[in-house]
Amino acid sequence: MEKIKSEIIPDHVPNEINYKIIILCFTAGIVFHYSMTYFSSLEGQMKNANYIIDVVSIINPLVTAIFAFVIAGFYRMSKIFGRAYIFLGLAYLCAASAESIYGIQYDIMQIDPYPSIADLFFAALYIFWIVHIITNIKYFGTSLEYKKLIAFIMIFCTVVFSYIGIVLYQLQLEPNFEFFYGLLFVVLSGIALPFVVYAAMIFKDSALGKAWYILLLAFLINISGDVWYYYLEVFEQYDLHHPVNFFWYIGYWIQSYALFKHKKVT
Amino acid sequence: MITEMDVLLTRFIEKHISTQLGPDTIQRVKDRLLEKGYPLTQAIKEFDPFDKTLREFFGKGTDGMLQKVFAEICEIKKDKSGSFKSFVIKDPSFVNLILSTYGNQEKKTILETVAEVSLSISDILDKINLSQSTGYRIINSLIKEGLLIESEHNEVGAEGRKVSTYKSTISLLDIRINRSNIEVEIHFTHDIIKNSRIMASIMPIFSKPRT
Repeated sequence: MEKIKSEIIPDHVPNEINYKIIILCFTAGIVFHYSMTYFSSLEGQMKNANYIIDVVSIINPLVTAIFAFVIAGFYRMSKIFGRAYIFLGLAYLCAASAESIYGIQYDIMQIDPYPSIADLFFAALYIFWIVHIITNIKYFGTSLEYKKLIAFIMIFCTVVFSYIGIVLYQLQLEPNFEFFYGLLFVVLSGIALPFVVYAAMIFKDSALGKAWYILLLAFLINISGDVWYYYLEVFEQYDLHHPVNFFWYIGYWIQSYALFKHKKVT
Repeated sequence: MITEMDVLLTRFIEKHISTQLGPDTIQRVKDRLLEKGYPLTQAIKEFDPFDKTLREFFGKGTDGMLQKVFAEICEIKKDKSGSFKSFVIKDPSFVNLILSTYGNQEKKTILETVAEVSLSISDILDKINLSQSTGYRIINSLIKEGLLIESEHNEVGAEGRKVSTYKSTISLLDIRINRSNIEVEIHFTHDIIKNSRIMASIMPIFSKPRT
């Protein structure tokens, strides 16, 4: 009798992570990146490859933004989720705007877009991300234990000081403008990451927790890409065919999957 | 045992949690509870199935959510030993329920009659001089709202049948009017607090600091 009951009623709310989708995101990212690298190496195709990369770089956050706004629409009657997903949608919209400005400056106006007005939107992306996470934490969180607070400060320090350490080592302790400019964004990344970790810990072992684990993975990928990018900019090593772009492609795809999982369970 | 305090709080917990989570999410919670054989209202009254189901969805986030939901309904006041003392009601519809109940002469008279002693319905009706049909209607509405509690000590009637006796759920009511703000503080009898399933689950959560 007990066996029959357990077959009918699952003992938890099902929301399993489909690892095939995550592997697919990684594979698609690698395939796209290397196919663009190959395409750009063909004679006279560099510009076209750049355009394709620009368009994909805009579409990725734009689709994620649309996805977040649609979910916010589904949650419009919810005091907590509706507001949180509007902030997330705004974050991705800022990312799409930043990518658009960056692409126009880089490929059409042919000016070096670093620093650029696009960076304001990239900064806003982090701010809206943080607001989205804080909205969730404020509602679902209770207290932050001292040990966790220390751990989060350490995460922040690891992100920030790894950038400072590596760059200053490479620059032989002579920081330039690009170093300080990049540091601003690295600090924002360093603030965002512990918040995502904390949110994932709040929802640990629950159906919603699965969505937050995926979001944490996506944020880690995006933030790693961002920190690497600002490092590259200090040494003027970045271009549209650098492997760092791969992090942003898959970061947004996995974030879209996290949004889907969130909506599926709640 | 579900106490009248649980009955009284259930509707406000349901209202606030539905507003916070929205219709889609609350429907998922309802569906999950139905899989386990509980309608939402019943699950909140019993609280443990409700709490467990919320934890399936939100994990430890349930603690934070319940803190916020309760903070919108009422402020819990504790005595020096940290035990529950009283509620200061925050929810305007809860305030209205209390004020309109005690503002209604007949309801007020019934609640005053059973404030100190438990009485059977017929004894209440005898004391307050109301027609049977009106009296039963009012008493039933007070029971339904959770403002009258069935006493643990029932009387034995003339034919040897057990007769239920009732007393007021609220043992003490403070109404403070501070300019435009009306503050209602309610105290419950010790038995109600001791037996309340909601309070048993909520009090440990409230011992955690809020973010």
